[in-house]
Amino acid sequence: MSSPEVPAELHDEAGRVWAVHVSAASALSLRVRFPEVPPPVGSVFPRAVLKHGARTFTLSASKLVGVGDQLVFLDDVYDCHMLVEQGRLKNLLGFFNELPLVLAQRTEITEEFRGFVADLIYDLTVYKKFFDEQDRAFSKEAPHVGNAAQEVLLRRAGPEFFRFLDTNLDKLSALVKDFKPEQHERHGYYFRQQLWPFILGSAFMERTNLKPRGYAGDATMMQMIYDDRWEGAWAFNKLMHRHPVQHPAAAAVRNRRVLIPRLLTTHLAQSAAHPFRVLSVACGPARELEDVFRAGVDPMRLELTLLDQDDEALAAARATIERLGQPLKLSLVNDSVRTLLRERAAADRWGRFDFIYSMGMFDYLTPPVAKAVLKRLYELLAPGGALVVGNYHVKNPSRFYMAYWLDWVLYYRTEEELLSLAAGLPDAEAKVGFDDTRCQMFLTVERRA
Amino acid sequence: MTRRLLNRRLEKRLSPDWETAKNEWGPLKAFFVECGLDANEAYAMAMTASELMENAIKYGTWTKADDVITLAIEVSPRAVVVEVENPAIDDPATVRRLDDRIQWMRGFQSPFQAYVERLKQVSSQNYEEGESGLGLCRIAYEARCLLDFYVTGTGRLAMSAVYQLGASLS
Repeated sequence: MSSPEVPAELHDEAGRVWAVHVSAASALSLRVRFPEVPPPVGSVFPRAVLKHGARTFTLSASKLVGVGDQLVFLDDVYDCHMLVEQGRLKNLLGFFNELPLVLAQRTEITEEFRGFVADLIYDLTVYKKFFDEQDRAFSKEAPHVGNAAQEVLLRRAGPEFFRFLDTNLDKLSALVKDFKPEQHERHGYYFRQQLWPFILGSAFMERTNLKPRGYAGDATMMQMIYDDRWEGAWAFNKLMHRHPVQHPAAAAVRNRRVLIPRLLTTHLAQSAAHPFRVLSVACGPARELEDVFRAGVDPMRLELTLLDQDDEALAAARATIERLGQPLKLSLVNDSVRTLLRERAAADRWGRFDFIYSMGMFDYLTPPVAKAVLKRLYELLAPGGALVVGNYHVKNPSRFYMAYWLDWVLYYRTEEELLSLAAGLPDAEAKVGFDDTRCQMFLTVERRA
Repeated sequence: MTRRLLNRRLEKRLSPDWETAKNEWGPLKAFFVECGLDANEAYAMAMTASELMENAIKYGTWTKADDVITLAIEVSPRAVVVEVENPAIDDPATVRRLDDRIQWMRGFQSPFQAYVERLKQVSSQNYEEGESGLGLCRIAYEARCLLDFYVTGTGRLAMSAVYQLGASLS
């Protein structure tokens, strides 16, 4: 597809103004069409003014090159496609002026932390070289031989490498445990800048850091945790991926798959409701439903509503349901809890539910929002129904790993803080429990029948 | 040593004009100092309240003469919460954009990183007034507040900033 043309003025060194039309010749250059005899190749234009609809852009010096129909810029690097096609000025060098701000971030890093990071990088480099050398030797073998050899490597050397990572996480915890919030933020940023190549060596950590869906904890990250398997081609990548998905906080995510089906089936057995209406809020891939049906629940009795702000998560949830092959009454809702609350009469539109659960959401909500969301979800609860929400505890042993390595921050709560979200709900009985890892709490609010 | 702040709550209904927002700065700063925040924290929180009020004035839907901004501040031993409510923009796409932006910002362990990432985009592109989202990043970074919002059942947008006093990870 050819680039559209827009009018422009080129101001040459002699003061003459050339009225022209320009289009994008490439990502970084403009094609220019002169209505009359063009100036010679090599002509320099100290200034160009481009008009895109109602907007006017003044561009810095450019030079006529090629066969006399192409402009390249001499002092800046503009995205010419964006400029001509969208009417937006993007100077790829624009951020250069802000670099001192980033460089200054290292000034308040403690000496102990610098030493720790330097040693960690050295050690990781040694391990990486070792694993890569083995992989290079394996790659010369037939795939079935090479794969078998890599399995031996992972089995023999993997546990020691994991102990090395664990020891360093302990050191990290000892160093930062008394930090103030701003120190955590500053040191976390420094840590990730330094460890970036190793972070990108892990499929899981790459995703938690880059957040391609715009937030941490997306459906793909959840699938990685649920699957808990080797990912990546090389041994080092596999180890760097597997270690965080085996840490206690990730094990707590897997525990939800057991706990939610247990609670759901218990309430289902005690309820006379038919259909038994279930709402999962921020449902993600909804893999816990596999265990619900494994427990022998009659699918004809259930009516499921799965809500998530991310359409990719809903697609993953749909795939889970389709794999189950159960004749379910299912609704998928693409909405955010933050805006879901705007519906004053939500219960009229949605009806009431016998079991509502939300596992990976309250850890992201600050107190005023968490309280408002819980209140609204409670309004959707039928008498005799139960609402269950998960929240990681302030003592989550993976919290420094998550914050520093994974760039994954949660709003941690104490038991009292989680319980206090339910304060004032009418006819409610609330209690807080823990999963086996003690990382994660579950607030259960039952509405008296 | 953990500081103990006073448990205090302040609520005000304010007319949506610049002068009112500006006049609140001094009294709010004094209130935060009274509650036990140090001078820098009190300044940062007064700045946060002021920025949220300015956003409310700028982006709220002010159709009725008696529409007001509600400012609520809650100070407890663990956190300071500033919440500003205004009539919401009745446009799901705009609210969704705000939702995405807040979640994107909150996705960074370091608000500085979010600020820098935003700055990277803003410094290389020309944005329309109010389009950059840099203001919210600046509140998160300079005042070290967690931002969040929801739309109430009465159609008002409640934007809040939470300043955690202890080490949030410890």
